[in-house]
Amino acid sequence: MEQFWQAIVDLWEGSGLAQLMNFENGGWKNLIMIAIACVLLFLAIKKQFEPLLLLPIAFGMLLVNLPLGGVMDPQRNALVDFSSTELVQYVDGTYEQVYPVYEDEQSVPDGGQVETYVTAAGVETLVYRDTLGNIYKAVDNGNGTYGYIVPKWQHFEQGGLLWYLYQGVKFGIYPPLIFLGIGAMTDFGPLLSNPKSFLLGAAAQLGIFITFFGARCLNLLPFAESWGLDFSSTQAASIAIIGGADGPTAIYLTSKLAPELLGAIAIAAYSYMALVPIIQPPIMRALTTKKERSVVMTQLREVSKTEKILFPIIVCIICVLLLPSAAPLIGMLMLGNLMRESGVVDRISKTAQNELMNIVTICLGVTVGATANAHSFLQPTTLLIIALGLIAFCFGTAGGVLLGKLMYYITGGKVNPLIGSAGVSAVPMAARVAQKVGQQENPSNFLLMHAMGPNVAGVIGSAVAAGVLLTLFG
Amino acid sequence: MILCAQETVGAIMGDAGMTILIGFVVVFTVLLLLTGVFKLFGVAMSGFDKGKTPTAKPSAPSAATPAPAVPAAVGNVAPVTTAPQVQNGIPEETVAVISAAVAMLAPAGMQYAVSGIRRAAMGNTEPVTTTPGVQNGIPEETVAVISAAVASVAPAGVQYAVTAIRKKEG
Repeated sequence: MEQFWQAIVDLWEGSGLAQLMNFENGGWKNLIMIAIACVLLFLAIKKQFEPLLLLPIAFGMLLVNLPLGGVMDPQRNALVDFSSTELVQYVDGTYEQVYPVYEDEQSVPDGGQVETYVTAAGVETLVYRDTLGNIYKAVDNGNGTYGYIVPKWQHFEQGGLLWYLYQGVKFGIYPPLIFLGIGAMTDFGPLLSNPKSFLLGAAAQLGIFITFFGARCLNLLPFAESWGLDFSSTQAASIAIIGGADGPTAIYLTSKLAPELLGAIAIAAYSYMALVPIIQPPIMRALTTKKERSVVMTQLREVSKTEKILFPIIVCIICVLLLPSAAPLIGMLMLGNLMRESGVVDRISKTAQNELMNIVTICLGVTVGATANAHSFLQPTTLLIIALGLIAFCFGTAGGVLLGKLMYYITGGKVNPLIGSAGVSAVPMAARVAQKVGQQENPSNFLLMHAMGPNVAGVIGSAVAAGVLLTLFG
Repeated sequence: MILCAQETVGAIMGDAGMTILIGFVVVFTVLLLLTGVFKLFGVAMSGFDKGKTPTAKPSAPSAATPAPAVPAAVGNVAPVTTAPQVQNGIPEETVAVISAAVAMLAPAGMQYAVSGIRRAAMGNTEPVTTTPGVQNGIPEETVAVISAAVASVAPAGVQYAVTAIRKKEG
């Protein structure tokens, strides 16, 4: 009976529930993270805040904060020395190999004893005997010197499921694959018919650089270090990229520059993308007049198939030549688009848009969420990241609208400044917001296709901005 | 100590300011270059197309579409008088059928017009309500019915999605 109860106690103490309730050892932090994960799941499912990514992110967060689950435990490799007995067995050839053996050849030191040894099978072989009496297989170098083989076995502890899937994030594989799918789904026609939209996409990256400046200047506060506000350049760059409103770009850059902030930055980026219809309109109205918002733009010109085919090739060549660090993102985006526009690889274009995109989205979302463990997420810096991300977003919107205003004045009132707000990369939400705000002033005004130009230009702009930051700080 | 603090302030602000400057210059330079290239490209293509014989095929985004054959006996059927933005390769007859179906499904006293049609991936279950361009005030149920009607007129092996619906004035 005693054994039974002991087994029950051992089971309890080895359970995650016991760890959760062990408040002295930080179990309460896991409880808070589980609650946050549940809130994010609610937002994703009930409120439909970017559910395609927020749901797996939230669930990954939930999984990693359930104690002892081990889903994000890293793989461990260690080289372990052979014991004296194992060394003899290795020379005899009778060693029972359980783990992989790593062989390291070293030189027999001067004065070292090399002798002939008869193995258990009766075979004569050269061995080196060290000062402790251990024997190793010897190697005759042929010039009077000898080497000897030191075997070690690789002790291998398997990592958790999500740790292996996370390698796609760590090595920068998933975000470019998502860009491949995005390129295959994007029509750059509105951008081609109005190339000035590229500039609106550039202006909307204002938020990134302003936030970088602000994050770095936090270091000047006297309590910066004690409060964890002393962001390094790499951390500031990762936080600032939230302003690009581009999830894959934010994840790609953060995984390279500041992987410790990945969970918080990904959650902030996708949350703000979902909040575009709430965040942008007040800024758009504040920076424009009714007359400017009512501008009806002339119809876009027709874009030929040839232009659409040459576009991704030219953009890829220009961008990658000027900014090689942007090659993975821009390259995959343009590859996807070329697959779509060429019309000759329909099957793989559909795969990129659907199956591949969905698989990578699942892996990316769950693993990024799984980086948000209690230790890294429950820090004052997390709240600050969320606040700075909002600032980045707002400045990005403002930058696009302000350049839109400038274009309005330069063109004599032909450009509606509202389309500038679509320069943030939240496709197609930001374009739809520009359409909606424009229609509130003039119900017969259809800005959607005009706003799609800056919207898709913003995807390229944020990838270029990420390339710049990677070049400067990577 | 004061000197060290000033250097730190200067160093941090200087580095950050330099990053902003470099970042903006590079981003704008790259995108300005792309703007110029594609502006010239557009001019060249427009000049090239002027020498070509015009075709009757509708193409995105602003080709004029002829008025469809209008089914009889429905009071609020309206021909499409403004050009919908139709993806390349979708036949005129299909555009006409879809436009007529949309017009037929409008509630009494209302007229709807299709502003955009595109091919959708087979098995795409994305409802039209999540596609940009559905004008405010058009009930979701109507949009869903329109989506079903569009799916029903598509030829075998093809799926169409309406990308924009608006209320038609008058």
